[in-house]
Amino acid sequence: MKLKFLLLFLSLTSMQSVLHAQDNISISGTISDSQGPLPGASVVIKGSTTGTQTDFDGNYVLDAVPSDATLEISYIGYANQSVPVDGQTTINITLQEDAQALEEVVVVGYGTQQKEDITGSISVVDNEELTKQPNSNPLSSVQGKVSGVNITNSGRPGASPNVRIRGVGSVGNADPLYVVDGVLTNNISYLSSNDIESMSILKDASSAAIYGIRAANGVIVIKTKRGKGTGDDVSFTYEAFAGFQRVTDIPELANTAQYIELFNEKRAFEGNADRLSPTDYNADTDWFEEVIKKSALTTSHNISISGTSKKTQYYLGFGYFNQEGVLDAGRGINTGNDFRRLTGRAGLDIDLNDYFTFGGSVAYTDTQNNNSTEPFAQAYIVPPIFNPINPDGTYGSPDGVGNFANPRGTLDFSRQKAEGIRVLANVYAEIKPVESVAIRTSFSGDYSNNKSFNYTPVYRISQTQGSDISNLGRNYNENDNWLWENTITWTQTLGKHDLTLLGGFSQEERIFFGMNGSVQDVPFNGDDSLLYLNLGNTEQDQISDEGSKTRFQSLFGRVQYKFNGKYLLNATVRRDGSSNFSNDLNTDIFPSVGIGWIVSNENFLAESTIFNSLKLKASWGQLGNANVQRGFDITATDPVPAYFGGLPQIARSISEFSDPTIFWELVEEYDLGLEFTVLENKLSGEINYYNRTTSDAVFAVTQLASSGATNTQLLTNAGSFNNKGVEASLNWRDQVSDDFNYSIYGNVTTIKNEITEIIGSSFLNTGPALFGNPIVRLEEGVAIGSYYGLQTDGVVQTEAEAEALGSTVGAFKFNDLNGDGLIGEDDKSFLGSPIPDFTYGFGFNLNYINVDFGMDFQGVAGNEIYNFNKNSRFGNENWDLDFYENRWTPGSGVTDYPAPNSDQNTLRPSNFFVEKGDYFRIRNIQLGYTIPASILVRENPFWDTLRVYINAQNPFTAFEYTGFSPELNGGGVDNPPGGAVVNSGIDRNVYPISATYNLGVNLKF
Amino acid sequence: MLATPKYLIEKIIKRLFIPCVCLAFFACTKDFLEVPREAQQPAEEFFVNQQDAVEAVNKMYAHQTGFDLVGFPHLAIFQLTSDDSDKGSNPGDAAFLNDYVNFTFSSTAFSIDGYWTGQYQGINYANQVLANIPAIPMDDNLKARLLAEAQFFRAFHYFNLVRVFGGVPIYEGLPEGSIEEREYNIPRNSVDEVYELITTDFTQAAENLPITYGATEIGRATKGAATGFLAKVALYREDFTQAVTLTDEVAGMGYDLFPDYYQFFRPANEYNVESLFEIQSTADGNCESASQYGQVQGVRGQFGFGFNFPTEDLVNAYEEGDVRRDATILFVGETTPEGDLITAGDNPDNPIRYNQKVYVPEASFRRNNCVDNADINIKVLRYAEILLINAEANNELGNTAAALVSLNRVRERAGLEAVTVTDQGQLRDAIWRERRVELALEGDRFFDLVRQGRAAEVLQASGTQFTAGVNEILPIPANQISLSQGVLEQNPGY
Repeated sequence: MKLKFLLLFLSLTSMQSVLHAQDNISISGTISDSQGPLPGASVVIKGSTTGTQTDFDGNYVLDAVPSDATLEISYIGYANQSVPVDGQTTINITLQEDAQALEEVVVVGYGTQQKEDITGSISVVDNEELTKQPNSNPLSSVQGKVSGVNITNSGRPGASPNVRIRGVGSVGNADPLYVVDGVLTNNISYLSSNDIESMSILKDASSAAIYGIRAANGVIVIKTKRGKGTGDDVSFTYEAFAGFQRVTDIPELANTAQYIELFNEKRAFEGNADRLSPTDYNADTDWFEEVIKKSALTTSHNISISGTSKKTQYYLGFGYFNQEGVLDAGRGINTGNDFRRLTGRAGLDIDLNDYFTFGGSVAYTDTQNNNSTEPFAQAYIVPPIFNPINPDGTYGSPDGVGNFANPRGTLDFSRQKAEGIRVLANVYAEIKPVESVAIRTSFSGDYSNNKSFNYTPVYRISQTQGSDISNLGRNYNENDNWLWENTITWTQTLGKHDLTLLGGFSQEERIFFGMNGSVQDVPFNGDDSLLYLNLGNTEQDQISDEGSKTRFQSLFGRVQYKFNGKYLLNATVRRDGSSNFSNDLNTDIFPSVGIGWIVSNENFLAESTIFNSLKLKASWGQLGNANVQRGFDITATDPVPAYFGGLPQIARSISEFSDPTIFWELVEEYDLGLEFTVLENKLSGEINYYNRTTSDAVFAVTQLASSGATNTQLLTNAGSFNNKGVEASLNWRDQVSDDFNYSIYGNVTTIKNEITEIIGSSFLNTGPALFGNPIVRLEEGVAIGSYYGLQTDGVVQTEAEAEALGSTVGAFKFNDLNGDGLIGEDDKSFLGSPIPDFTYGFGFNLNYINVDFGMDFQGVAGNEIYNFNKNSRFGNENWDLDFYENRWTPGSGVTDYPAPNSDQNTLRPSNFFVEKGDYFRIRNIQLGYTIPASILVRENPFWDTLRVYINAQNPFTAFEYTGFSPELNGGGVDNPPGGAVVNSGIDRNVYPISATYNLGVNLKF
Repeated sequence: MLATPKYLIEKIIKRLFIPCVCLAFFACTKDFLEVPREAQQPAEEFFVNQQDAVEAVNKMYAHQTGFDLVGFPHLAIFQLTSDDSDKGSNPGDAAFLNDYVNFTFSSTAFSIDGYWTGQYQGINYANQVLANIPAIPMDDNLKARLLAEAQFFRAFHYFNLVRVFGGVPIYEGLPEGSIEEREYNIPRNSVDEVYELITTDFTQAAENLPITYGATEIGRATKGAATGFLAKVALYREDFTQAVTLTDEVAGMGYDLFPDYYQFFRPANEYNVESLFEIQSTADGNCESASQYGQVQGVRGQFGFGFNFPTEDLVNAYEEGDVRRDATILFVGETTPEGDLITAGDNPDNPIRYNQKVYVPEASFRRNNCVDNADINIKVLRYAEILLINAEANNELGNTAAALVSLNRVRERAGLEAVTVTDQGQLRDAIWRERRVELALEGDRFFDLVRQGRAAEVLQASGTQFTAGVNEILPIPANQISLSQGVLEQNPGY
């Protein structure tokens, strides 16, 4: 609609330049496409600048045309046509859609660009791809689809996947920036895939640099759906699916008989007599079966209405998504384990007149989570010898065997709920004072709040599991952000020079506030309306609040220049200021430049029958990551009071020493690439080499303890990392006949991650520790998150050997790397890394008449997982079946598994707990059928399209890892900021990934 | 190379672009990026008034309940190194603690770093007070007392460090400057230098601290505590004359033995007439001041983790009729005076003896849902020890009669006959034996053995791998040495 007015305006102005010649004729006609008349199509006399454009009804009139001239008719998205006049006075033309050309416009930062003109590395994922899989988060559907992007999903309902673009560039926050219709955010879990029109993943620095200090981890630009079409047109879609999830590959653990056998062997290892006898225990509990549901339901409904009316284009979308978790929760006082999301979205664009366009959008999301304490790690270690719930109704207690939690009790005696809303609103106005200039101002607000509670009743299952007083914790937090952006764009073609200039200015404010309270002794009778702090023992309540306010102020600009249709130059600069840093250091400039050569537009390739297109490109840019914690020396906020005379007094002092001069992390990246299409556009591909270096990376280095600082870890700009690799993708598309077409895709990405510098000390131990042994160490020359420990060197087989080593038969022997005769800190080495050597994905789609079928495959290779669940043994934890079957027993001669034991010398972190993380997965299988009108009674059904489909997601995964799932999303490790990155390979209470099976329907009318 | 174009761009933007944009949008001022910190008091705004001064002093007390000070590190270094107790708990639980029982620990041993860190955090709190309070305009008497409390704690922490590690780096104030400039990385001082600082600090603390406090300030460091520690330091330094003088001074401040040995340790009798200094642990409503001191030692399967398993040797060290045996050691199968049957969860893997000095009855051991036995204070210094220091010092000076008077006061309460030996050597043995049983499981035994020069003899006899000339002090934590890049030197033999 907007375009129509604009083009009309142009046609009026260009009419003035029509030449008045003598022996000429006047031609009129209608330009249309298969759907009907095309307004705004261009009709030009070949070899001249004379021409016009079609009006609202697709009609044109062209005076003074030489009778032997040729008309050229063109329209964006359609193949050009040339028609000789031959004295005709009426020429009607039907243009053919050029499917390829339609895809060529790519959404980039603050604008769009022809795909051909891009010099960076940008991958585009469209709505069809995003909605093919039943995921709560749109990014989950991208897994395996795009080179350079590694996605790690979580099985937890509503959880966001981890998204890593081209390796890991920060040990702090390594998540990309999302730009949704211009709003900058770090979390898009509020978005339904159905509302997204396209997603552009800006992978290289030159594409992302326009977002400066926020862009270090890559940028994902999302365009949501808006009204489309012409005239008075309305379309309605309904998309829905329902299905169930099932946990696959549940680890097998020892049963009661096997456990008791191992238990007594462990006693022998420790020099004790047998204690447990199988006859003493009737129970044989499979704890995973107890806490995991056979199947969990997922339901999704989406309705959208979009259309146009006169000068207005509108879009309305509503969505409902409900996912049950796989935990068998919801008994006792627990409310279950699920995630529910309601989404509503409205967009409006009004073309007021030739000069002025304005519009806006509102998105509202309401989420609700019933959470449960997740007892996966508990189920892994708890012995099978007692009942979840005894026949008399009491909960089984492990007292006498050890301090274990009964996982059933963990589920049943906690009540947790979280609710949140998020509202994003945007208004914009655009003025075009002259045809080539667009001035745009846009104001966005982004508000969200979350409230949650966590209630523990009075109960007791065992000595260590229970609570003698009820406890209620409540949390409330809100984010209130606004962003004001102003841009001016000037587009001009001057001879062989195509030039677009962009300048912009923006201000942004982000405010966070959070409040936590807890109180004991709260009554509860099943009604959440009693769960208020003021109904508890308020004399002992604990309330704390926190807040932050950050502002950004930015100036940015871009040059897009193309010479002679072949040589490309794109350059950006952004000057960002952030209040998060000290005044002397709060502003920096982030430049980038990209160059390209469209080789296929050179004469020597113009006649090529092989290459349809060929482009070489190179780019460089600098990016920042402002998502780091600013350091201050602070007064202790530690609430521990001092008691005098039985009464508390406030106690605080200066306890943390911090670095106040912290500044953003800086990423510098080089990119070289090649794009091609060959064989009549059937095969297209892209190969890129990337090399990105993060310098001044912010992470915690250990302070000398004698400073007395309570933050033994000091956050500072402490090191550098490098990520480099090659990403390649290939697509094959072929229309075999009118009835049959198919496509095949494949991609692979290699990653080499290396820590190149750590200041001060040459290493940093981090991550969880076992018995004083940290598992992760950051050191120059290794990948982020690499494991550090001893190397096993067989098992002590004989008493004589044990005596000589001061060890026990059945215990591990370790390599004495420094040869000092002792096994200690100096004998540790690096044992593997959580970052894959390469990730890959491939798949195909085929359509035959009304049937469509597709499969997607995906995998990672070359990474390792640290099996923390297996390593954390303190006493009589259960063993897995793998251990039972492979363990050392006297005389067995086994050298790779020890005897059952809890000896913390033999269980020191070692390569025994480091396992291969490779997996290969059938990510998705989908079979669809588009119901043709012909099989129905009525010839003209009320719908345009009706399609039903079934699909299976993750039905099969091949892997060697002995834990639940080789796909770890943060691993359930609760750690300070950065923990998720550093500990990404440590498996500890991970929420397993499910296979899901769905039935869905798409309806459009 | 990049700096120049960047600089030019910055200049153009500043000179030209920003003024233009600002004119166009009436919006940007430099102030936009000047946002005050939310929800945090900057360090430079603290130490302004009298209330800040009091709170900073209170922090030194609140710090004492930390796990690094009274949890595992205390257990490992103060208890398990002695011949009075073994690890206890379940055999597999925290098996690394056996390294302290057996003297097989290395410089990377668990708990050593925590102990070092916790002490130096306390020293920082003391130095914050000593460096910042003098400039605060406030009540002069109160200021003098607060400074004295800080000196008390600084000496207390250095005394803990010097006994465990030998000479350690001394920080008498706060290093100045930015984070890069603050020089914390300094070499170790000598043992004599550390003791000199300790003596100075305790002496000045004793001069300025009151003998008693009003009801709402009970628990603060007193003149008696500072003087008592000075006496203990004198004993360690074998300055027996000074030890006698100081213990006599303490005696003049109104201290006495609490009549019932068992009752002395019960939470109801905190800060009684015998107590010189305690670390307050409280199962307060929010469990913020609840230390894990009692939890790690509580009866396993009933009241805690069950570490610190009293040895048979300790059980046998008590004379017939000594009331302290049953008051110190909790035996599985016994019923406590409060009526709890000790079962240890009927689990044969659990130890059969526990430290009764941390016992809290079933009815209140998890008061307010805090950690087990959180109401047990740590009795750091009590009058019985002052009497034994007096006895030991007097005996060394040849004042046998005075020594016997002090010794026998302690024995009398324990229900034992008076000692009458007058031979200096025999009396010394009697006093040392008395120290062991009177102060058993209170954390002094290992340091006594070292001080008495018989650590190797006694600890090797008890079956450990104690190495004479090495294990009298512990290693400096390995990671602190590597962080210091070698400025800290390791103790010999580690």
